[in-house]
Amino acid sequence: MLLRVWTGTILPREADKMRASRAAFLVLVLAVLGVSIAFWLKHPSPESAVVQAPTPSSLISEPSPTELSSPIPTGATAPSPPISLSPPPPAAPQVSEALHQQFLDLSQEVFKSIPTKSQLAKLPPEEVHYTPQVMFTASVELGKIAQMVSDHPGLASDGLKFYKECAENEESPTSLRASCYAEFQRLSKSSGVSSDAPQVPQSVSDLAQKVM
Amino acid sequence: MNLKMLVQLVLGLSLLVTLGACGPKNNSASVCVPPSSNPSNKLHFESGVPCNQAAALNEAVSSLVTLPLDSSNSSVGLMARTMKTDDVTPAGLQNWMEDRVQYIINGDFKIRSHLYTTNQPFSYSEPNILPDAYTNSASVQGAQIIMLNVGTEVYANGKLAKQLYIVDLPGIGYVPMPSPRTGMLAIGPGLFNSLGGAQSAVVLNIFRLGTLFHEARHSDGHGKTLGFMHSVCPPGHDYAGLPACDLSTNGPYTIGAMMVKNLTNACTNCTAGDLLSLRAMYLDVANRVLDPAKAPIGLAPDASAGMDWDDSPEGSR
Repeated sequence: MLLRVWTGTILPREADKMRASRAAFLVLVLAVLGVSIAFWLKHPSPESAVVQAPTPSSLISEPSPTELSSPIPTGATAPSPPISLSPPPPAAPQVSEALHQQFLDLSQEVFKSIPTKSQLAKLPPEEVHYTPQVMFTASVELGKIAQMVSDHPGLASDGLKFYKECAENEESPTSLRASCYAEFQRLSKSSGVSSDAPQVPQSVSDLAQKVM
Repeated sequence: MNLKMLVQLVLGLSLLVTLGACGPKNNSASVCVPPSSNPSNKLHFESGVPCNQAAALNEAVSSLVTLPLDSSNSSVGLMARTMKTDDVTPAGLQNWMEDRVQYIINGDFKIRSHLYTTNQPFSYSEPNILPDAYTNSASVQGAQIIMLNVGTEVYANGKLAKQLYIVDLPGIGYVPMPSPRTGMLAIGPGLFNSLGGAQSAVVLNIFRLGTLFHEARHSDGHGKTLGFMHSVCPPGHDYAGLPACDLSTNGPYTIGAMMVKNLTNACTNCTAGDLLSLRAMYLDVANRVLDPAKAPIGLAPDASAGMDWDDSPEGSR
């Protein structure tokens, strides 16, 4: 309608000029509009961005092999501790105070069952020909600790403390210390609970190797 | 006397006879089936062996079937080479044991009062060669002859006396001892303590099998290696000063330890508790095989430390 009003009083040649101007104007407007849309898509404003909840897999992004192998440039600051690639060990479930106490009571009983080396030396020869009764009993008692920790993974930390103390007791027979040492290593690995390793002589760690 | 009383009398007498077959020490609560009639193995039990002990030993032997070993496993392979057998199936292992153990007697049995000799001459192989423990105990620092394998002890004493000894076993009869392979074990209550049932049956079975195979090895060897005698453990050892160690690398402690280890590995229904118990028992035995550096000096070259001893048996059954 606007065009008709304008074209009502102008000459044909001028009308052609006018038509060309309108087309150029239209192209210009479209071009400005296109550039604007492209700019908006590339740099959305924080207010207009859609917030998406992160998925578990997106929390730990796995770096590409090239990222892992890229050396740190000389003079550059070491990056913050790298994100662990292996899943963290499951947190040990909480144990009740009653269960904790039950474990401590059992620990005391088991420690009592472990003979000293000097007690073994006093046994009659015929009794030590094969595993003597006291050692058999202590072995069975040690098994109770392993069973309780297996049944209640939340006791892993207590179990490690027990095995460490058992392995480090210089009065105890080497074979039982080695059993505790090996079990400490096994439990430490499977539970992911960190604890100071037992300090034992080589005779104990060497013997423990036979069951590790 | 009416018919009912007669039946009761017959039943009562039958029960007494059945219980009596297992001797006066029977403390089994159930009626005893004479264990020597067990068809699943070749063990013969002297009548003084309590029925529950005989049953427990039979059960342990039978449990081999439930613990089949993986012959492709390196530890099983090492055991097979040490035992010089190609057959580590349950039947094969049982045969190995039964080649060396046949008679089980009560630990309280007074064997000296049941020994006989024969007028017929008997010639021993290597007649003047015996383990140092018999001939010169000083050379192995006071080693004592401690064997539950009494068969080898009787054989060695016969060899020393240059006579063939025969043992009269109640419930079995006269058993001549022309070879340690005759295989006669004395068993004590220590092997059968159940600790009030605190541990599972599989732990007890594996422990008893380890003991049986340990004792079976005492039936091997000849001359200086006869019976694979134990040595005194060195200072610092768990059993320091006691004859509870082996110098050889293929002796009774090695065999017993290997059996416990491999049977434990084969145990698919063992709990975490069972496994730790069995590992501790294994280490108690494995730790008795001496480091050659800690062995006593003055040993016979063919019965020295840190080597496999010749296990060829003396005599013949």
